[in-house]
Amino acid sequence: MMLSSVIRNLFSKPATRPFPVAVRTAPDGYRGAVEFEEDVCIYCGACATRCPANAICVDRVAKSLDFDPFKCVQCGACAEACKKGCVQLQIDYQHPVAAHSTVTFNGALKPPEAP
Amino acid sequence: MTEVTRPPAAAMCDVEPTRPVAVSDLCAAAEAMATRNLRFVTATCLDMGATFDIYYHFADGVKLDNLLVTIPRDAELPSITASYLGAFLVENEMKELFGINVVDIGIDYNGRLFMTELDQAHPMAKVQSCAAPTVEGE
Amino acid sequence: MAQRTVIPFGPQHPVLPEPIQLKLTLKDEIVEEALPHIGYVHRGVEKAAERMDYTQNVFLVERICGICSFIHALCYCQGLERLMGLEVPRRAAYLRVIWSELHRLQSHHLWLGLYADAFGFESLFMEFWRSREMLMDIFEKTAGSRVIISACCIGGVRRDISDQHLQETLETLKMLEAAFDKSSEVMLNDYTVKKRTVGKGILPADKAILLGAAGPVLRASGVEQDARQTGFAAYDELRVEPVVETAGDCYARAKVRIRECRQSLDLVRRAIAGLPDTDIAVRPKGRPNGRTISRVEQPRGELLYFLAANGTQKLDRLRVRTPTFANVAPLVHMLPGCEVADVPVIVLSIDPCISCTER
Repeated sequence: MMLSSVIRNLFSKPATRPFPVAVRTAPDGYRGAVEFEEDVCIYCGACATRCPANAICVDRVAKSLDFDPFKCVQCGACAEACKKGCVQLQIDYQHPVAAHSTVTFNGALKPPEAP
Repeated sequence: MTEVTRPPAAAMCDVEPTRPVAVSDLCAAAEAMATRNLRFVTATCLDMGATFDIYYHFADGVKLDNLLVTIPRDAELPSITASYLGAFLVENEMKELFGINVVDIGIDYNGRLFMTELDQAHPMAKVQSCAAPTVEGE
Repeated sequence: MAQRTVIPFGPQHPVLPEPIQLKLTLKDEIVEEALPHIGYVHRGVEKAAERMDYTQNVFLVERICGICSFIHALCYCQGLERLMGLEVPRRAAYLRVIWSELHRLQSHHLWLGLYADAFGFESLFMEFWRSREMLMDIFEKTAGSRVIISACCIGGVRRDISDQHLQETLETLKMLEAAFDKSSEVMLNDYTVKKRTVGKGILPADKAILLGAAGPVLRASGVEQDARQTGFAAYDELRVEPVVETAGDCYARAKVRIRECRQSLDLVRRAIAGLPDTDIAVRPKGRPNGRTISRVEQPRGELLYFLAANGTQKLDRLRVRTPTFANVAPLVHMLPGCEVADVPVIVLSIDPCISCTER
């Protein structure tokens, strides 16, 4: 019984992928890294209150947003909460980086476009 | 000590029955459950400020049967491990995380099940009774 | 001359992916007493749940255990729905069953693999884990993540499964079943496997009840209890007969899980066939108040959540009783009398998940 699978495995391709050569893309709807569209954000703070990991800090008065990708658990609660579609989860996962960094942007520093 | 308002135990909105028992009758009630061949599920401890509410859950086939014991903060709680040895883990947990004085546990870890001597005592308790409350915050 | 020794088994042991220490008192090769020690991965989830918003807790409780993440969220959401008086749409209830059963399949495959590994059957381990990969791909496709699928929310589910994905799931399950037939055959009938499992770590029914065993451990001892009989989610329509074995040994526990895999395959198919066409979620209104118990059946056994809410954003108390927390106690009875070489197999036969246990 086991012998047949051993022989089969001997002559068939591996079940795994040769990773750097063949990269598998995640299916649609995959919850990957969180990305913000800076121009759309109205600093309402809905994402920050919903975030279970406290990865997002929004200052409504100073109009600034601070996001720590290393606290993020990729649950997608922020993307669901955002009315403006500013927060989106990428198909790609969070890549490793050389140093700890946060995403910060500040609406007050930009020329006023949309409120 | 701030008293938090909480719903009374009667607000339990579950189908399964809960029967309040006195602390002195707990062991006898547990023994009665054992003779009825009910499976011990677990115990739940709620810190009510001045008292602890402790639920013991037993499975009667598909249904649950619960006992409720209310004890003052520093009272002794007898262990039910004489009837249900399986309760030793949860009783050690209550002793450690809530600071309930559970006595005569079948297998007693003496407060070293989850915590070490370096940890803050009884982290689940809402009122930190062992340390001076004004000096140490949570 | 018999000599007594005490050996620490774990917390680092090749057979255990997670840290539990057993202090084994041995008389020559025979275990006389076993004392479990946990506390290596206590994370204080119950305390954290009191400090977080009740909607955020859904994501917190999922992370108690990766293997049965969906069922944790289901149990928590179900308790809150009861407190808030929410009626879950039928489609959501069915989708919950589909994901729960896929999780059960996935978890049992994981366990069967690890179990084979425990008695040194590496190729069987690989067979099961290769099949398991198909299930992980289903999760990724239907829910957006492989392990922590985050598909459950208070009032329903967060996303629907499209007809195309349902079809693909059915096709994958066909492949999975073919592979499972072969590997489970080995697990049940192989001479060496039976040598290592039959008659080891016997837990009689009366002891199982008094020690509070749960799930497959309980059912392998002949006690017919399965939380799915309570009819949560859509199990009121998709009836489940508990899988029962009577021997109470390691072999029976493996057999229960293998038969449960077949049952899960059947349940997923029935749920997909009878999937109603309704909304997938209702919006929760108001704040939860009161106390309730929520029970579901995890792959490892019965999971119990006790929720106490006080009408605010935060819960007063969230008690999580995971199945392994219940199944550690029976080890105290199972291990004495066995040979020290059988300890890994017996410990693994309860499907220990220590991160679950300590929360």
